[in-house]
Amino acid sequence: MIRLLLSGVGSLVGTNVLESLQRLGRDRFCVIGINSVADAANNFDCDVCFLVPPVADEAGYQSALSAVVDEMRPDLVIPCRDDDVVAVARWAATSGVPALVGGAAMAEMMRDKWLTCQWAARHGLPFAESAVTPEAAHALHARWGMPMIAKPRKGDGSRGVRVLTRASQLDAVLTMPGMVIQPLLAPPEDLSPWLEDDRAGVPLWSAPPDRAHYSVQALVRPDGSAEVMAAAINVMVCGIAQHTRLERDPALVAVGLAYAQALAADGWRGPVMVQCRRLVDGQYVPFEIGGRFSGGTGLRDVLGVGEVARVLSAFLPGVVLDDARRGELGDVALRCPQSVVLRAQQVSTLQATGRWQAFG
Amino acid sequence: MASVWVTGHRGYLGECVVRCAADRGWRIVTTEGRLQDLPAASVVADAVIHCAGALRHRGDAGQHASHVDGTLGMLGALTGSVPIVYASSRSVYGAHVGDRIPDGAACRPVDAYGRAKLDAEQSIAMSGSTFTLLRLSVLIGAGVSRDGEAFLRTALHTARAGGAVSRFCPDRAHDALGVWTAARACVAALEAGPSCRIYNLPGPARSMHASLAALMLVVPQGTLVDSWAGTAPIPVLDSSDWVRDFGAIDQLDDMKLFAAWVQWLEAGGQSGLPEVDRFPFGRN
Repeated sequence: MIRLLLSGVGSLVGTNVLESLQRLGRDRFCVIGINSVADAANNFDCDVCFLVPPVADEAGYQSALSAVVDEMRPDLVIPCRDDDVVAVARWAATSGVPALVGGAAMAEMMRDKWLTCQWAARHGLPFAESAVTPEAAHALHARWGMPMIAKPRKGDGSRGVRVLTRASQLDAVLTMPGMVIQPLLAPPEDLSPWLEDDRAGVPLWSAPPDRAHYSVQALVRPDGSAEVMAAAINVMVCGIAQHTRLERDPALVAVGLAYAQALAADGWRGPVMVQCRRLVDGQYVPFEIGGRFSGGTGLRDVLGVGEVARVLSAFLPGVVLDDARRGELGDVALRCPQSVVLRAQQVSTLQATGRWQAFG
Repeated sequence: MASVWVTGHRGYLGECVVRCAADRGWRIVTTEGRLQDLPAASVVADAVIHCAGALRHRGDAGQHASHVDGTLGMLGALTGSVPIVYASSRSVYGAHVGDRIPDGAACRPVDAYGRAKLDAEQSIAMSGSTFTLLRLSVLIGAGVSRDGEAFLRTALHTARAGGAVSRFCPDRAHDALGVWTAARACVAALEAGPSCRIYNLPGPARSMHASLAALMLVVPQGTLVDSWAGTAPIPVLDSSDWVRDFGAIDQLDDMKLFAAWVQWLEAGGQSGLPEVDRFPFGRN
């Protein structure tokens, strides 16, 4: 049985990895989850789950992670969220336990969109123009116009991201610490009505249309070689891929592979995801990268890509997880809501004891 | 670069690539028969220039077998992951609106050849190997033992036979690329180190009417007939990325090209001629 430890198992990426493991044959794996949130549904899809301090409490998190690893002896540690990637990379540098990470500095770079921009420039890779000072942001505005987009440098899950349509909004955002400003590349044609149609009030729930979100999922193997596992075009709703179609354009693959190879050269190991926009001239321009699986991993899995299988096969010596479904499935994957049952006792056990274990 | 496997080494472009690669002092690796019939992991080379894939096949099945199955055969026959330069085609772009096609423009192939080339590109891009894809314009000129299939070649043969060549549309740009220029580009791309890039590689955009006029000066037994049908101009490939990384593609001298072509044909079309379109590629 393959023993996997998922850090941040309650996250969207955790859901995607668990979905993939389910399709590979769940009984082949012992899944050890760690999470700082007790009532996440994914906790109870694990064989055993531990409640740990949030990664912001670095010492507490690392101590808890070490204790779990000492007890459970996982074959591989898989960080799910960007914060987990950084925390696991720092921990792995001294632990000697196999983990899907490279150096901590690279993990930090990928989490911080401004550092990513600078790193990409040093490697001659395309990346969305970015600014962190008012002067640079205004220069960016002068070159690109509106709309622009403001993001927390170290945010994840689209939290705190703002679409800017007016100069006054740019000025306001620039007073907020830790923001990076980018042009909103290739804005959808129907974005303006969404932004401006507030004559009859603001919808309680709404999300900008995003039907042209391109992504590449690559892999840097332990020996430093890199491959692109999948490229896709996604329809995003509230930052989550709801509709995915595999994309065949070699230009998109080329951008993803170039990133993976540059990351490999700088010591990264493990999955790499690259999110892109496509400009009018056809050029793919990344605007975020990450050293992890993504929220589309499960969608691509049902299309036969088998990212999790390929990564595990690369990182676990002697493990071959053939994905016989490759290429035999459909063209489009849709994410559908799923109902799950949580028993109060499960959550209370995890909260009270810091540990929940499946039996039977 | 110790050794390079040139696929399609007996083809129009491949023969020229072999010559150019050998000029670099590289050891040339070749294989016989269909690439898809090669045993797995049977070819040892430090790099590949993939020229195999014929234009002559008809229909999706034939083109797929030639380009996609052949490419998958090449990838499977390699021992390990090595840099690959692929001589692809502008056909992957298909129907395009506008005057120019930028590097990385959307691909909408409209024929079996373009679809197969795009599928083959995709296979290489997804193989895990480092690659450079060269989207070549129509190749022209005398190669080592053959000439190509371009319109200008047909026009030249027609004119030499004393026939009439139709100027079938108003004057427009065309960008036929000398086969030796393409061959040296393949070698230059490999020498620079494939870097997951896609380059458009057009010939210099020239006037179709001017080229045909030059042809008639070299082959006076032919005649020109104007037969305009209002055909829309074909967009010219934008080569700005290539020019940025490798330098300008010099102008091709039509008169010299056609003169050398005629000389080559009159000599039997089997021996190398002075390479009139041999332009230096200087990497910036």
